Amino acid sequence: MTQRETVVVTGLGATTPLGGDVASTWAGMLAGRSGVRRIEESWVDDLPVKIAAPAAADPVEVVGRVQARRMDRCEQLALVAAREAWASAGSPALDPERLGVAVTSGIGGIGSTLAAYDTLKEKGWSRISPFTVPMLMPNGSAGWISMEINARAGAHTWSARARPGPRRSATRWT
Amino acid sequence: MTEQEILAGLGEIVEEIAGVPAVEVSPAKSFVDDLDIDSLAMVEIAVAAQDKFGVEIPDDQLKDLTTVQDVVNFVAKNTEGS
Repeated sequence: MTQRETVVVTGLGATTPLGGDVASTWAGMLAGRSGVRRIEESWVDDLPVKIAAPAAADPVEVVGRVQARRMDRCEQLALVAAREAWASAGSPALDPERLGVAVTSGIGGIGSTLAAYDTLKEKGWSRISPFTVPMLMPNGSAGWISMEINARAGAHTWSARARPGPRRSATRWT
Repeated sequence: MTEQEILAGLGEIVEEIAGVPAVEVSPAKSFVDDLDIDSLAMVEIAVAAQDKFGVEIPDDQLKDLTTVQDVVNFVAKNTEGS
């Protein structure tokens, strides 16, 4: 028998191919806009597919350059959306021991993983950033968000192959 | 490379990594106590300094480089003649 639990949504946050927040994303959806565009950057030259739906807003602009250096892009995007959701909920003052974070990621910081491998091959282990692991780990986003809002009850991530979210074969990272 | 050039290059690195304005990176400043740079950022600065100045900073010597002048001296000593 399926157990049904009630979830209350108190705030919304988003940064998407349609806009850097909920309002612009929603407006884009209502206007029937598509976030898909042709990619002009050189890294797609050898790829058969030349289209994608990149985020409309640069998360570095929101997070700040110095903090962003320590974060993978997926973590930056997650933090931007979480900040908006938290503010949307009224930034409530809660007992940190009763506040938790659950954020999923399909793979985590793949860009950081690949960049670290390139650095390892080209420059050696001593040039690897000390932030490599927190940037590539799938639960990095949950960690950053939990520090941002002082959530000490837990920072959890469920990751299942390429599909984020709880699945039968999911792995839970804490 | 003169000490002034090393200082200027180090200032650029610290500003890029830690967000501390390069103008505040003066010789007598302590990275931790004056510039509020944590140990992980210090490792990043060391990595960037190695690339920029073409020197190797061994792990066991990094902990002794506590001030801006310490790093300037280390780089100057290890790039002599280059």
